[in-house]
Formats: sequence, structure tokens, C-alpha cells
Amino acid sequence: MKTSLRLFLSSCIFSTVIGTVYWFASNDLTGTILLGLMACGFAFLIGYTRLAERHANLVGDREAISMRDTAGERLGIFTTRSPWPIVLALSVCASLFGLITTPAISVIAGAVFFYALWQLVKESA
Amino acid sequence: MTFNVRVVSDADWRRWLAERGEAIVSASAALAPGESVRHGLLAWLSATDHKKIGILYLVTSVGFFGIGGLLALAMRAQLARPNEHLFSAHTYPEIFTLHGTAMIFLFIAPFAFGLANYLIPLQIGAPDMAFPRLNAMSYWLYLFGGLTIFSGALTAGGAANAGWTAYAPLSTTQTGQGTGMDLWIIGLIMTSISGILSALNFTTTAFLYRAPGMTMWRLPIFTWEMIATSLLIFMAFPPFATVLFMLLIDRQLGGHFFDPSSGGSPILYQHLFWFFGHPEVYVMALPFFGVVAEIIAVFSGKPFFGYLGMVISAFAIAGLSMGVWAHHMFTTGLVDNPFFSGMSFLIAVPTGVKFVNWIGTMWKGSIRLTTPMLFCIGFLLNFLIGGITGVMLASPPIDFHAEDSYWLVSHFHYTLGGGSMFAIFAAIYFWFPKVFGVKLDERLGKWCFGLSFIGFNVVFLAMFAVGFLGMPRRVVTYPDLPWWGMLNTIESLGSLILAAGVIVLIADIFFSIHKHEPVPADPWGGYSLEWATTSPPPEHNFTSLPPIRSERPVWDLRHERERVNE
Repeated sequence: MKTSLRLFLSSCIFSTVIGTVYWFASNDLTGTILLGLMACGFAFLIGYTRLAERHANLVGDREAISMRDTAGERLGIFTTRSPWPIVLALSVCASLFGLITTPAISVIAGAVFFYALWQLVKESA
Repeated sequence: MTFNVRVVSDADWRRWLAERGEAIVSASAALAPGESVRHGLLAWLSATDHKKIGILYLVTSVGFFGIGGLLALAMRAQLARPNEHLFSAHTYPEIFTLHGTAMIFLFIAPFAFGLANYLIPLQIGAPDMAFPRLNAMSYWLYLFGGLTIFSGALTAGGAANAGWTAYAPLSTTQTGQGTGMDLWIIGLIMTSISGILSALNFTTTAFLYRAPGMTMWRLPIFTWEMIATSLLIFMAFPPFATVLFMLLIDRQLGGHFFDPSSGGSPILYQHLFWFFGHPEVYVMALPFFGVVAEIIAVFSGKPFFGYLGMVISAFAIAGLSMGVWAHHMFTTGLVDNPFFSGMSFLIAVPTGVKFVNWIGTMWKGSIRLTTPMLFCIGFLLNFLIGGITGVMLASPPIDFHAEDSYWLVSHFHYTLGGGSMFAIFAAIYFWFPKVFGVKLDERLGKWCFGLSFIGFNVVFLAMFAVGFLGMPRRVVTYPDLPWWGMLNTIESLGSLILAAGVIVLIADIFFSIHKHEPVPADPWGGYSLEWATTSPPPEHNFTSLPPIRSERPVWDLRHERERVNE
């Protein structure tokens, strides 16, 4: 976690410095806003990582650990297959297609999207 | 529908561990009662396993490469001679738009996503990606996005023909840009969402799912490069999705974002597009820097030279690439040229560091000139030309002359074609045994390399020359000016040689699969964890893992065994 935190921190500082230099060099609002948003995004990641760090005890971060030390540890649940990802992607495709053809398609595709999302959540429960 | 993976150790493994000093991870992949392993089409449609998703990405992206390549040959046929009229002035822009779109959005970056999907969990010792179903959805969004883009060719007005950059107001006008343009926009919205979701998966997996002992500073370089790529995607892809939606609003809902007559600004489009567009170049390059690093180290028989420098330079490139977007807009006269020129020059520094890393790894190594290694050497030579001409273009006075000429086209083809594409070929030859359990034929591989390298350089060195003479890009035909006809004919002949190289690769894949000679887990003497499992790996990836005490755990294990045997 420490390495990722340092990574986000240095990226945030870099974006802030570049954004500031760019503003004073060019007075261009578009680019400055984009660079500013980039810095804000990294600031959010720093905050999130700091919060997550409190509860994290990653075995991958321990240099001298052996596999036996982690015996019995639950890694999580990994789905072997699910029909819902393809349904979700199809509904996104159809809803966008509806925007350039018939809005009704977007409405129906939107409903399918939320149904598939609900099924996906139920699958995880 | 789900299985639990937990680390276990039993008495036998403990004894084995005590004897060998190694450790075991065993995955209990128990299916729920009544479930059976599915095969066939349904298994692929509902697959969430990272290896299957990876293969889907790789095969689909190579399919789009085939289409993009055929479109390139069509362009070369049109331009082979002066005053040629094989295609109309309406069709030709459709061809180059779809060629650029296929290669940039649907081939190079998605191929890297396919490799990352397949390799990241294996390289870090994880059972799968962090979010397997999100991963599957990312793939389907990419596939449907690509098909949507190409479906424009079936509409009455034809496919999008505003170039891969789709500059406003060319792309906002309804005349000449029909439904094909709208389909192009929504297709790319889907592929950009797909890219963001993939990046989320790559970073979460690499940060949180590493095997015991696989600290961040022991990660294989390819995984590091994918983390840098993912951060770039987080920063660059949202503005791209935004600008595409703005374009759609202008076209469909009467918006005026890019309409100067109503207070909009076409320059705003360029800013937003290139804020994505230049980092996208590195999204297409960074993963392959990692590929080349892994392959060169294995075939030089040495640890990678300057691991830390290679990782830091990847993030330096990623960071700097976010500050150079407007070097594509020098000639607008509306951007701060010195700022963007300076930032662009700076990128050469971390890129140079990478060259030192690659060459330093080969230096005094026991080099084996296998097909993947040859492609990596080809990559170094081509990418060097692409990089140096990029530094030249970072200078506004040169850029003013080269803008919109074939010289510039040749520069970025050296970067992405001679660079990334050669690394892709290297990756195919290197990891094919791991993915499909059979090795590609080395003799055919060397033919593939020879034809590709010669063909590529014939095309694009001649293209540099014709660009230097002033030939503009994106022209359907050209007058018979001195040298232009001859140089274009050479380019077209070169493209046939290059195509022959690709055909040899396809033939090699078919012959090798047909012959089906199984390979061991580690046919090359690899370094990273993917070589510690069978070829192809089981569904749960690993039955055993070696102890991870450096960035070369498999090399450590192999040499430990040799030492014990002695």
C-alpha cells in the first residue's frame, strides 16, 4: 500500500505543479482545468488509499513471508462464469444506438441494463 | 456459479516444502452441486476467467488488425501510381478513417489489454483478476464498440470519413458525415468505457492480489508498465468519452459546443481530443516496453539491467505525456508553443533511459537470437527512428513544415508500427506456448521477422522521403511530380512484402496448432511466475508457487534446483 500511496502522491504533486506552470505560461483555461481535474483525481485516490490502508494487511507486501504462513487465508470469491456481463454490454450498446435512431430503444435497453445489473448483484450475494 | 480460492497446505506439500524449501498454493476450485464444466460457445459467451477473456481480447484485436491491414493495402493500391482512381474521393477517406480507427483503438491497445488480462494474474501469482465479471463486460463493450464502428460501412452514407481524429467541424456537419459518423462516435464511447473498466481491474489486481512475497518492487516489468498504462487511461480516457458525447450532442441534439457561429470552439475539440490522443500513444507503447524488457532479459540470460530506472521512467513518461497534448496543435497558432515544445523534448529523457536499460541488459549477455528476440531487436531499431523523428517534430519550426505531410505519417508508423507492432509479434512468439501449449515454428518465425522488417522499412523509409518532398497526407491521389510516383510505387511494393510477413505468421500459427507438439511449462527459461505453471495453465492458475524472493522467482527456483542437483 505504501508504494501505491507514494505513486498517487507523486502523480498528484506533478499534476499540480504542471497545471500551475501551464496556467502562468499560457493563461489557457481549458488545459488548466484538465490538469487541475487530474490533480483532484489523484487527491481522491490518495484519500481512498489512506482509508483502505488502515484495514489492509496484504501478504504481497511482506518480503520474507512463506506460502505456509498464509495457509487457510481466504482470497475471495471468483466467479467462474456469468451470463450478465454480455447482457450488460449489449444493453449499453443498444441504449447508445437508440440515441441516434429511436429513443424508445434507449428506454428499453436502459431497463434491460438495470435488470441485468440487479441479477449480477444477486449473483454475488 | 462461483468458487472459493483459499491457500492451503497439506502434509505432503509440507514435507516437500521442507525438503525443497519451496511453498505451495493449492486452489480448491469446487463447482457448486449440479454444475458441470461447460465447453463450446456458451462457455466463451459467459466466460469470466481472465485467461479466456485474455484470449478473446487477443483474437479479436488480431482480427481487427487483419481488417486494418487489408484497408492499408487498399490505400497502397490507390496510391501506387499518380492520378490513380481505384477509389472515389468519398470512399478513400472512409478507408483511411477505418484503417486508423482499427489500428489505434481496436488493435494495439486492446492487444495490450489481452496480454495484461492473461498475464497479470499469472505474473503476480493471483487466481484471477480482481473483478472477473467487470472484466468480461469490458471485453464485450470493446467487441460491440468495434463492430458498431465498422457497421457504419453498411449504412447508406457509408462509414465515418473524418479521419481517426474526427476534427470538428468536419465531424459535426451532417453533409458528407451520415449515420456512419454517429456509429463511429458511439462505438468509440463503448471502447473508451471498456478501457477505463479494464484499467480499474489491472490496477486493483496488481495492488491487492499479489502472492505472498510478491512485493511491488518484485513485480515483473510488464505488470509495472501496465500499472503506468492504467493510470494514463484513468487520466486520458474520461476526457475522450466526454468529447465524444459532446460531439454526439452537437450532431443529434442541436448542441453548439464546437460551432463557432454560435459561440462554440473547434479548438476546444482539439484540446479535449489531444488531451486523450497523445497519452493514447503511450497507452499503445508502454505495455510493449514491458514486453520487450521481459523478452530481452530472458534471451540475454541476465537479470534486467536497471529495474528501478525502467519502472520510474515508465511513470515519468506517463506523467510528461499528460503535458504535451497541444504539440499536435502548434500550427493553430492558439497554443503556448514553447511550453509544449519543452515538455515534448523532456519525454526523450525517460525514453532514453529505457534504451539504456534494454541495451544494458543485452550487453555482455548470452544472447539467443530466437524469433521473439529478433522482433525485439527490430523494435529497438524501428522505435529509435520513430523516437528521434518525434523529437524533431517537438520543435515547432520543423513541425510547421512537416504538419499534415507523409513525413509525419511515417514518424508515427515507426513509433506504433515499427515499435508496438514488432513488440506484438515478439509477444505472440514468446507467450504462444504458454497460452496455447504449443510452440510456433522458429524457421517460419525468422522468415516472418525478415519479411516484416524489410517490408516495413521499405514502406516507411520511402514514405519519409516522399513526405520530405512535400506530399500531403489524406489525399486520394496526387499529380505526377518528380520522384513522387516512384517512391509511392516502392511503398506499395514494400507493403506487399510486409503483408507476406504477416501471412507467414498466420501460416505458422495454423501449422503449429495442427502439429500440436506439447511444450513444457517453461520452454524458454523464463523468469516470471507465469512460467511456473503448466502450458496452458489450469483454471485456478497455479498448483504450486515457488518462493518469491526477487523479481525473477522462476529463475531463482531453477538455479536452486541446479545447485541442489550438483
